[in-house]
Amino acid sequence: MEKPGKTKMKPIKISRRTFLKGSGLAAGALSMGVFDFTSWSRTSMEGPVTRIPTICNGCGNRCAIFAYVKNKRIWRIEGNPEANGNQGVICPKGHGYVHDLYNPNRIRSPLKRVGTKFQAISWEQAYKEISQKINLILMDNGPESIFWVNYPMPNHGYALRLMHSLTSPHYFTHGSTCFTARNAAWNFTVGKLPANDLVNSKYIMIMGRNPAGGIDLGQVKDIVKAKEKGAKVIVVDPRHSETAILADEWLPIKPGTDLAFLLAMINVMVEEKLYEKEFIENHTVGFPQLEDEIINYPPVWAEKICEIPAKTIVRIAREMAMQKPRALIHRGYHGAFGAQYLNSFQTARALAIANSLLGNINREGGIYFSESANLGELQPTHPAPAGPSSSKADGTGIPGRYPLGSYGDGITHAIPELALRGILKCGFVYHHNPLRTNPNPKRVIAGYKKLDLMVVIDPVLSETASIAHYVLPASFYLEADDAVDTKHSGKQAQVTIQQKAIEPVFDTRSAFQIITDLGKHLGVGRYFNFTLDEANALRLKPFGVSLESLKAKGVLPVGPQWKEGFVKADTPSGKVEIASAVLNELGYPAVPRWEAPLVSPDDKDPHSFRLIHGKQAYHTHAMTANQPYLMAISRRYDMIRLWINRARAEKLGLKDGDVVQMKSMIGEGKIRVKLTEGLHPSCVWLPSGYGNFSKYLTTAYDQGLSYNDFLPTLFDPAVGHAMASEVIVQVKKA
Amino acid sequence: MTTQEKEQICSIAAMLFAPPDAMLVDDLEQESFHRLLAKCFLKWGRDSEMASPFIRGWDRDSFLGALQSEYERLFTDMDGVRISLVESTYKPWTLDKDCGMVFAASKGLVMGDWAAHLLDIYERLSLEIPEDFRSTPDHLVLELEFLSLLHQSAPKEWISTFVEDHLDWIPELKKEMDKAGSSPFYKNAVEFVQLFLEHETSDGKVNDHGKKRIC
Repeated sequence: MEKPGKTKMKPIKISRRTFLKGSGLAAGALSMGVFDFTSWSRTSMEGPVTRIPTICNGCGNRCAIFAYVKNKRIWRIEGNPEANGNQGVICPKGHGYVHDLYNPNRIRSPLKRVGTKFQAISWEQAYKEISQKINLILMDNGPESIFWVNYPMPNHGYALRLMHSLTSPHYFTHGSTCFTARNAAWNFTVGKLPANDLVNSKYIMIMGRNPAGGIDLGQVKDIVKAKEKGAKVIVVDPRHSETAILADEWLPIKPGTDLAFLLAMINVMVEEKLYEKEFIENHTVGFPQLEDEIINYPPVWAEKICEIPAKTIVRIAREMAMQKPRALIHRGYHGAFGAQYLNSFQTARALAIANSLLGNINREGGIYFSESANLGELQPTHPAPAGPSSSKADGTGIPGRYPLGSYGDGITHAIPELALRGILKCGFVYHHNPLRTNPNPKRVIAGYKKLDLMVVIDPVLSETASIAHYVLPASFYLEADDAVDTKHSGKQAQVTIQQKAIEPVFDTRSAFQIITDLGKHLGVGRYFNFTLDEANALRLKPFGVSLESLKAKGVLPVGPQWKEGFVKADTPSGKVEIASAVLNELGYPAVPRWEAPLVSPDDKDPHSFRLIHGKQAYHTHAMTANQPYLMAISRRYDMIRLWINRARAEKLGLKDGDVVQMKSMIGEGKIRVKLTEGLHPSCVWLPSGYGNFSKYLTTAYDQGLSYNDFLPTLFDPAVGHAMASEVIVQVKKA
Repeated sequence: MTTQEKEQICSIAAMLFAPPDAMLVDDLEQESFHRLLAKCFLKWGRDSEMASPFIRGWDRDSFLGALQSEYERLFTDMDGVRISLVESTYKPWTLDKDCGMVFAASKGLVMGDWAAHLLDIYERLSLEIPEDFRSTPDHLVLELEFLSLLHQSAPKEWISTFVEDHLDWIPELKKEMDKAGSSPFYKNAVEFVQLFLEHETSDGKVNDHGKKRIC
């Protein structure tokens, strides 16, 4: 071989483009003080810090925060003390979730599925191809064949507008897997979902809800303040939850039997005439029917079902009555009756009625109707689309199907079924991960894969994004402006705004922009001919506050202060409907009746348990397990375990930390156990937020299990909710 | 090695770590390119045969296809090993002790201090970076191109300062690439860069895992 270096080389031609564009290094343009990293670093640390009020997106509470920016990068976040919902504090999720902002594994540009892989494409190509495909699908299958599903965000009104522009009725939220039974019950009883005046209450009972775990910072602070003022706190929960730690008393109820407990409490209140007579006489309808029904449910009856001693039920009913109207039973959320059981609707109805008997509706220290900020309309400046002419294919609001279901939320876990039946052909999934948060993932995957076109809008390649045809990368919340919101309304309405703190790190776009861009490409741009600022200004118009002032503060109180006193309910009778004529007409009990859970564990089988679930304070749904700092908390405290009652576990020969095999009719998996006295013996408890199977979520992948892996696809026959705790599992040592 | 050769080597190295395309194959066809690489390897105490993976040994399309597949597998494919070619990801995100973010001292993130530093430099020098690199101004390709510019007109001290500050992570990159079983093309490409930096740009100062040492 010829020795290299001995021959005079021809100059090498580098034909490819250069990346750094410029005319070269201009002499004198830089000093060594800037060029040397150490010097530059020292100087840059002294740079000015800018404070931008915005809204956290670590979970659905959307806490108000201040984002501090130094040298165009995020530098610190802290709570905004003006917001009702978080009162100046931030939870671990708020801090941990920001890690994703600079995560190199975020989606950096629009992606198109080509075979089994994704190919990066331009936004224009993505919009063009998506809109062409949708137009063809709608031409062949009609406007009802498209859907949009999201976890609600401030901009969800624009997503709904997009569906209505296309005359599709198919806009969905995650509600049927979360809260629709609770909402329906409150709506049928008092006309709307109320709030809890925890801070002024003297007696607080919380059933299944866990604000210290499924974290609600404002509520936790209010409970602590109420306790400081002498309030008594009772937690009724199969599990000794994070909130139970704050409580004076924990009642380990048998899961699925909260209705029995409530009916017995009502029985005591009625039999002993502990109720607020003036309120019942003047502001309710149907009390005589309740009297007739409730005699069937004495505490001794309930004790056999819910396993709370009759004398405890009597005592608590009396104690609450002593403090009425400054006594309340928390309105609830997901746990116990949000969307958990066949009897969830009746449970929430009974809970609403028990509160009514305490005369606490819209009273200080009771259940109150928070002041709402009714945002302004875009019209007539920007006329709204005519909307759909057909009803939702999921059957919500339709007699004979799911008449008590929420039309606005739809039944999200029906989407795969509707896809498999060929009714839905294409759709958008935004800020939502149904492959992980809906029951029966194999069925969900089959359904979503059946779609001719699925577009996912997400910052990361979640399980759902992983099987999409196109993925549009949404900007991280700190990179995007958004619609004004009213999430923090309480005793005075509040408007809030999410504002961009830094420029997008990657080639991403705000969800608002994506929605309006899609509208324009889909030929309905006339309904999206406004900027976000214009729209936000119109939304704020009724309150007489400027967009600039909201941007400066992040949170603004608007409208009147709440006034104590019940005037009128937004029900057909205008009163609290203890008995509902509408329910009666629809063929449901006018007053709550005992209804057993759909399934129950086999008492004779030592391996048989009901699987229940709940949140930990550092994880939300399926979106935080990939955050290294939050997962580090899980690991540090060994929290990715299945809780099991110690006595029952020991009968199975299990020791703390052993691995068990858990199996239901649809799924199985292995997990380590935590033996505890803090759990009802009939159930096992799985923390939610784990079990991610997208290989792109490198931190979360294959960590723990999800309750959805064990839960069959179920629809409550009245509301349509997922009945997420109606699942029996077999637990055996692995 | 002449200044012009150093400048050219930096450009070649940048080219090797950019997504492979037809132009790269064109450039690799040049005999003088292989001669230079072979000469360099020899000069740095290695076998001149280390330049051979850069010679197209089979038909053009297959060669390019293989390069693209390997590049995707190593660096870009979300299903691949995803080795980072970005300096910030190898270093703490910021040295600012007052930064209140939980990830302030974490590695593995983009747009760290080192990226911000380069953005500042590029801006002051009116150097524009393409949209594809907006979040990674400290990508190896840009850093090597910038080093090429420095060789063109900057004093020696500036070159060694830049290499010490911004290219001290190459040994870690090399380890990652070895671990991933890189093809000879990329295995030798990263070694080429490392040897060049060690022997030709930093006056014998070599960095390892962010800890500077004197040879």
